[in-house]
Amino acid sequence: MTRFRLLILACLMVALGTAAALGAEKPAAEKPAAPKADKETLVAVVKAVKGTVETRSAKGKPWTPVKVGMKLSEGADIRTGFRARCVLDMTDSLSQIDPLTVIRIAELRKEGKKVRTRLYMKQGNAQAVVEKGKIESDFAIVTPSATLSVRGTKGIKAGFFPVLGGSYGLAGSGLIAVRDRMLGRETTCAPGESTDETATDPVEMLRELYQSAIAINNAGYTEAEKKAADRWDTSTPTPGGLQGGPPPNTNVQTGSQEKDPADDTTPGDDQHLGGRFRGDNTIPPPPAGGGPG
Amino acid sequence: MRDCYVMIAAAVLLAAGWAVAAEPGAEKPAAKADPGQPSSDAGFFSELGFKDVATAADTARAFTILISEGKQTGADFKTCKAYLTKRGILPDGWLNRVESATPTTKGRLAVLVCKALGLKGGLWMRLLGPMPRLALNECAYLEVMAPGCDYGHVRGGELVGVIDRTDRLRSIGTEHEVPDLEGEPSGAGEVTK
Repeated sequence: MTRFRLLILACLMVALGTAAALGAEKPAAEKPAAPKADKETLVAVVKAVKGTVETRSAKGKPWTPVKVGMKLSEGADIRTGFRARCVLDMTDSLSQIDPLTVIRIAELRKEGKKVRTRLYMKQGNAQAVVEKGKIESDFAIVTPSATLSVRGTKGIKAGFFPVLGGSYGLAGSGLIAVRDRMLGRETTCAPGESTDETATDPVEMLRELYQSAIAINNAGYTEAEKKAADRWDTSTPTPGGLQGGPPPNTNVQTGSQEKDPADDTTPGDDQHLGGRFRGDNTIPPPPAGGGPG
Repeated sequence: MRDCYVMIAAAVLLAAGWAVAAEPGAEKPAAKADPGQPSSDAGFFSELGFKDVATAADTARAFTILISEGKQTGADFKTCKAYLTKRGILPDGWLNRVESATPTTKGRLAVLVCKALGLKGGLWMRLLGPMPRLALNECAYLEVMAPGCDYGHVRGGELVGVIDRTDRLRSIGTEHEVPDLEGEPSGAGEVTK
């Protein structure tokens, strides 16, 4: 009997051990996959600091002052105080964080030969110079309202504040593209140009997006009816046969009609109704002999 | 019988180990929150950007930093009011009549901006003084503030933006003007370890 109990306990221990091994494997399985060999996380080196500039390595970590030479990696938040700014060297780009700005280095990595940089700017202003030629760069500044992407350029300026809106411009050379995050509309800025959110009229954009979806299909109409649909808001004369008339198969005249006494055809017939109603807006022909003068 | 107890103890220990392994985050301590009151001006403006409504205390502190050009960064409401009154930024003493938690309206903020920039405005503003509605129109014309109703509340991020734009106008042509970025990236490509 004792051996039987021991056997049961041994089975129980083996079962628990297996469960423990499976449980221990869970966190290992949940860990993110190791980065590929061709992806390297880069760092931003602080080149210059003026005023109160603070950073934290991740959300929830304490804020520490930024010093020249400090290396900031992906996920670092930076905030600048009154009349404070700092300059970051991010391999393919040089960025200046202007006063009263809260920004995050969301992505800064090398993928193959391309350097991918994403700066998430909650509020404030930033400037950037992106190198063209030496390194293939994929640089963008993301604000709550728009994304400014760069194709090798100098003198990029981006700013955003709640309620006041965003402003994006290019003072140097190259080309930038500003993509509205709500409507998806993309605007390009050449040197000396700038744009803001009010440049995109939301109503106009929505009309362009959905007009084709709600357009009336006139495939089932006759040619005359199609012509009538085309004459809205124009002074084009009403085509014959579409100037109203009594209901078919009745002899009842409506108030807007004048029956031609010489005409004895059926009222529902379109042929005899053209140009004989008070509501007709046909432009009268010019008087014989020409107009005035 | 002793072997039985040993095996039971081993099983219990294994079970406890499995329970701990199944919850990997159980041993991690909770992240500590930031201190409630930011001491630096960077912290103040950063946290102000997350507020839905800017209070009178926020407005007083922000304008104290603006007028003192960053030298006075104290958070005391009374000190800020005294400083602004001394500098002549409170023409009708609005901040002296309200409590620190009172929401700031766009019109009242516009009056402060007009005083900070020394704006005289148009005909009606010269005749009637910097009334909230006229001051807001003037600030909207200068694109310092967004147009709207003068009795609407000011958001925290909006106040930060107004301070930024006001200071940019105040510092034009001075050494405090934000310079354009010059230089080129190094292209070094330092990799994190």
